[in-house]
Amino acid sequence: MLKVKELTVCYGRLPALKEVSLEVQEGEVVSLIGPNGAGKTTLLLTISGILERTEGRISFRGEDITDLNPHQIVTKGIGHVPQGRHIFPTLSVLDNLLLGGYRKRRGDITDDLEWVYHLFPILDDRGHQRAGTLSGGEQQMLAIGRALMTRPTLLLLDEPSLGLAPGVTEDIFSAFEEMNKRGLTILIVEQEARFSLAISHRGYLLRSGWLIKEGPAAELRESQEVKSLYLGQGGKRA
Amino acid sequence: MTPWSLIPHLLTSGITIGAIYALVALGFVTIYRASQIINFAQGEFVMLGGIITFFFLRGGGIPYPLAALLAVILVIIIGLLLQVLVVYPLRKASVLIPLMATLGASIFLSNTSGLIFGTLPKVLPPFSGERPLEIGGIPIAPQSLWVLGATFLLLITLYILSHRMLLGKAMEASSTDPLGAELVGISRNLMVLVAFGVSAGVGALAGIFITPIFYTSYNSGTLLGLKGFVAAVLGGWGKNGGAVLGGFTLGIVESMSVAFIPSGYKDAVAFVILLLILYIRPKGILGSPFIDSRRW
Repeated sequence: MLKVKELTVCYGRLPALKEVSLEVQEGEVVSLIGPNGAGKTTLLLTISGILERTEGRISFRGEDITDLNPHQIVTKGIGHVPQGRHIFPTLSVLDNLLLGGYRKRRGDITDDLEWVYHLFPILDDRGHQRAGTLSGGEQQMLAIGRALMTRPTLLLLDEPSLGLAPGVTEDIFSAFEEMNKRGLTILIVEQEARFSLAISHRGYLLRSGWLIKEGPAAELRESQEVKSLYLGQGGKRA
Repeated sequence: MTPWSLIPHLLTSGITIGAIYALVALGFVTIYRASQIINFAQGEFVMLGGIITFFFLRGGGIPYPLAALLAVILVIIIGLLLQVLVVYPLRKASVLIPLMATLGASIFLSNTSGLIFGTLPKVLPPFSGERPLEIGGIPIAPQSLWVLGATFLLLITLYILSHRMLLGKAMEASSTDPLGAELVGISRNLMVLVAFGVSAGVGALAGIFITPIFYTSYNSGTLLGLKGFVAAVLGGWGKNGGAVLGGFTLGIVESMSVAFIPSGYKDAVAFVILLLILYIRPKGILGSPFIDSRRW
């Protein structure tokens, strides 16, 4: 479904991603893990067309999307929940969701809205509250809901658990599983590799811009590299 | 005649010009909120609105309402071109550079207007006669009422656009969180383009309504633009309500000053107010979401 081929992205002259290739198949949940500064966010922002690539191609459902604008990529069916959530704080919760459906005609959005409210009922209750007044967990739910309103077939999630209480993180990850059961393909970036690998089919490990390991999620979870990097157990330091 | 007996007249003319300052200030705010750019060509939209209408009416013999409509459309196109040709290519530069560019565009527009339409001041006929109406013993030019009515309607329209329509909310979203907006498919460049179109349209209408009262010449946009900017800062930079309040306050204070100091100093009043507000209360009367008061 998504194919990234030998992608290199530079900030100025400094490369942040070096010849990274990865694939996401329809219906999969794929984890992209790696330490801070590995280039995970850079990769997602480049897929969405926010950052410009230096080398390489990106295709989605057989179509080359490398040189499209962010708003064109959204309409192709790639939703993106950015790190730090980036909701619109001065607008109401409902307006945030409606803007997610900005590219669609009005009649089409009721089903999407119902689906979001089914996943995150709190957003229905808080509809007329200013989004900036929501708690961190609620803002994350809103950011996910807003991305779902663009009616994506592939959802990019950037650090969805960042700064959230463990209980809230569990709720959000079970929502991801439900979304995936309904047919949504997910590419998820996480530092908390435990959470994301638990719901993923496959995973990629990224370090300082290089792709260093890939494989089924269960296998990756047991590998020495992942254990020593994230889970603070095993590895050389133990 | 004592200065005090002049007050009612000065008040009505102050309110009238205040309405125009308010519209110019709203133009500044609309563009700033969408793009963080201060468009110093804002006053030129007003000048062009008046002068192009005059050209169609006198030169082309086109009926007044049609001439006005054509002028508004033409000025909106000029506003859009300003964004596409001047502001858009500089979208990655720091904020000072597009600001300088709009200042340059302002000089270009006023001199081009002087070349094409001549440098003599123009005046349009009033919409509905010249005979003043007596309201409470004060004679009021009917055109002043037109200006106030039009300002009121434009304010309501802008309010509906920015608070009731999804397009306005998309503009706000794009200015408060550009990344979040891009990721749901709201193109920032398109929003900035819309803001330039709206500001140009509002400016042109202001010019058409005011030209029957004050002479408009090719170079009157600069001063009007600067005063609209002062009004926007005075009311609270970045706030629509602040722009309106600042516009009327500036118009009234400036007009009243004529009763007490020689009228030649009238234009200086606005800039003295600007200096005072920057010293004493930089965030303006209503406060500004863009100016951090803790820094002052």
